Amino acid sequence: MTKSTSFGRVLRPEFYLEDGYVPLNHGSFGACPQSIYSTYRHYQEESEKHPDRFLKREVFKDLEKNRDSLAALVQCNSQEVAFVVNASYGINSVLRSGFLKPGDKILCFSTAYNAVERTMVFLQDAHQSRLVTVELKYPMLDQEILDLTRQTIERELAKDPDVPIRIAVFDAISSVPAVRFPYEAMIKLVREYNILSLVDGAHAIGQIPLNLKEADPDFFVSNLHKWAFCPRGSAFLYVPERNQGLIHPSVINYAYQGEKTQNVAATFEAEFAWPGTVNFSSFLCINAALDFRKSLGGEEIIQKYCNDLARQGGKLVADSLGTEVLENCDKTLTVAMTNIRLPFENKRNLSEAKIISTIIDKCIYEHNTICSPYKHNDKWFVRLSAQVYNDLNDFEYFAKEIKQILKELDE
Amino acid sequence: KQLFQLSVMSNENKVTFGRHLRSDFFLEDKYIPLNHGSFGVYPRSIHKVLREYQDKTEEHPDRWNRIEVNPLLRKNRELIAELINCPDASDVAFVQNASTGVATILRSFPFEKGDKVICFESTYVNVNATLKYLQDIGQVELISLSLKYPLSDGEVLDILRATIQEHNKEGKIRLAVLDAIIAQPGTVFPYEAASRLVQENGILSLIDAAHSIGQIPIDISSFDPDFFVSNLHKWFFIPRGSCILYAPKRNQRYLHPLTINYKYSFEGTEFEQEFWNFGAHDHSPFLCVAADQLFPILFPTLIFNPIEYRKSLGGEEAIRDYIHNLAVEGGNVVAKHLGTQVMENQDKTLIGAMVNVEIPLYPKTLTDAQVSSQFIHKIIYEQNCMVPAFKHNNKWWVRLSAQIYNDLKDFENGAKAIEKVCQELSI
Repeated sequence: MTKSTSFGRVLRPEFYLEDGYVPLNHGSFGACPQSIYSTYRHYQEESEKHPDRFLKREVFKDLEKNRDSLAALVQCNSQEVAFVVNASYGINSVLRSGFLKPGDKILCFSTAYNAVERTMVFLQDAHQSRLVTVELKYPMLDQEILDLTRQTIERELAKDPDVPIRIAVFDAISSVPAVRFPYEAMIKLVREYNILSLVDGAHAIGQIPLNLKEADPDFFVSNLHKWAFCPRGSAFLYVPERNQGLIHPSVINYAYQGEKTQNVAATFEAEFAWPGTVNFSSFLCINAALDFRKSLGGEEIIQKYCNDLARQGGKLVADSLGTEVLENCDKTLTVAMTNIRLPFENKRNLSEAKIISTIIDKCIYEHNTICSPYKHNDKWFVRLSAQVYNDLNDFEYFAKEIKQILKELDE
Repeated sequence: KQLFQLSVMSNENKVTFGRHLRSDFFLEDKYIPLNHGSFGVYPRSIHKVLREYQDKTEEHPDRWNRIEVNPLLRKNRELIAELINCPDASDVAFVQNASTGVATILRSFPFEKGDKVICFESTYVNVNATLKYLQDIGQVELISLSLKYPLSDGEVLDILRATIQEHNKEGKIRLAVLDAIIAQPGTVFPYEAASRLVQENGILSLIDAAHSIGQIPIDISSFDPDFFVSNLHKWFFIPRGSCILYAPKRNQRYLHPLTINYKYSFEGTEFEQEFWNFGAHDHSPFLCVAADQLFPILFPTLIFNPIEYRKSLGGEEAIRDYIHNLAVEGGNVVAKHLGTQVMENQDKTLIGAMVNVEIPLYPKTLTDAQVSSQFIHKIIYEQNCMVPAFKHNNKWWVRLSAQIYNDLKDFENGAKAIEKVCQELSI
């Protein structure tokens, strides 16, 4: 059932967002609609009425229903989807499973999310992995990124023909800068060289349509609590059956059999199903979240609205500041997040960290808004998110406030 | 609505504990709850706190997650540190559960090829799986000790001592995984003495105290373990999944979380920062320890803080005494009804708030796994009760938990339920 819904500020009451707050950073922590929270709380209460009945029996039926809906949405088999608490947990599970041998190379990109980058440095320190980093300086065309990657791989193979690049880690949508990455083509490219692909799709589900069967990554993670309206602490890890025997969750459980594994798929499912006792309620909200999104018009309509708003809003703010949006000639970078260059001269020579924290503090405590500021390629940007509860008024408001903030920074 | 009424009676009143406290929790009316040990429950009043913090995280996600939640997390860790007599809350980290805590230590510890690790057949199943994984990838060599209960503390320590002497001769025993309270069978382990024993022999002690906080007194300073993990959601009335991981400063350099965050530093000098945030998750359970000051004006008689709630019932010692004595008496009641025995040693050190009773279960065609599974199904869906059944030392047992909301009648009713299921599964 779809009805035409007005998007914009009129939808804010569906969420818990404070009155008067101009929220332009959905990308960082997401926001969960009130109707989904009632499902969340229902399950939290259910689990207290008879914890054993719920956690030893009932919860699995409901988890399966939610997993089936999710698998249908991202177009893969239900049995290839494992719930994890967040994308970082999924990424750590994959990379630290033990299939990387000392000396193996990991291909990564300079725009990797900070915790992911640190995870790979940990692997370097603790497990003698070697990192091969592709430097990205946006704006770039998709083809430029692919060409640069291919050159990097070829160069590494020429240098060390006997040292395998075992896995490549790259985004579907990067966080900073917030840009769409050509992950589908990259999966195919690295596969030519027998390199596994781990796609950090933390921002993907709910922001872009996903077809995992077609894209066929070796591993894929995405947060449900970012753009899919689920409560915080819900994400999924997709692993096609061919790779399920390679990996184990970070929290290994009773289902682990090692060499004695008879049924890889069943073992994978059981290993990831129980990460010790946790609150499963967030995963049980997927159906409610998808229903809510359907009631707003469905994925396509929501994603179009957010995409259009991000483009329009970004342009509005850039025009107001006299700068530009971070975009390439093919206009492939912007999805529901936009990156606007700041006309910031840093007259007082503040540190990068100080600039970021000051802008955020001022946004929150003095201007009742929010953004994600960052430096990339020697320029300062803000990342703004467009959601169903935003409209152009929010971007107009922000444009005014950020001007004031930048003025104060330079004084 | 009953949601905010606590049936707390004064300290002088002898009947402070018992089934009248069930209404402080969400537990279903007719359900006979004798398995607190598996998943714990928390009082209704804490639910309001949980909701309040969840609301805060949605009202302004950035302000809450970047700024406001942090001092609250710190304050809650301070309260727990105080409770377990750990002088520095920076040495206490929050993790989701004991399996995570123990896996964190085992999977980040820089074992060298040939390192040996002492564990037990009775070590928790997820922990043993993690150890097996580490052995499979060549990181450690396991020395698994078999304990056939009932055993005295002295016998347990003798077994440990003999093992150390035998294996420390060639190659290095690096670490010993010691339970404080074993899950199956649910018995108290002489963990402090065992910790000292292994440390005297140059072996690190990892105490898996999943069941401990709220069930037995913990004094970190007094025995100085190398690593210590305890769930808060089991016996301390905090929502699932909440657990603490403690490591003294001297050992923090060995540890990194299972999910590396942006504060990672190889030297391990940033323990508190590295363990502060394991990516996006619901912080609210961890905030329930200190939860207070939220509604003092509106509901002055309400107690939102598990520590305060437990104080209102007489405090930690009074609670521990009640649940221990009930476990002992209740175990006897069940054993008498079934015509079997309670698992206990001569010094009477095995029973904390959980008691193991042998059951008259003689399956003819079912496998052990089928028996365990069907037992659970029948006891839950047909008898409206719950106790886990397991095989130990060639006999079948059940483990019963005693909590403040239980009394002897629960054990009487439980005995009848267990008897029925045993009869049905013994055909």
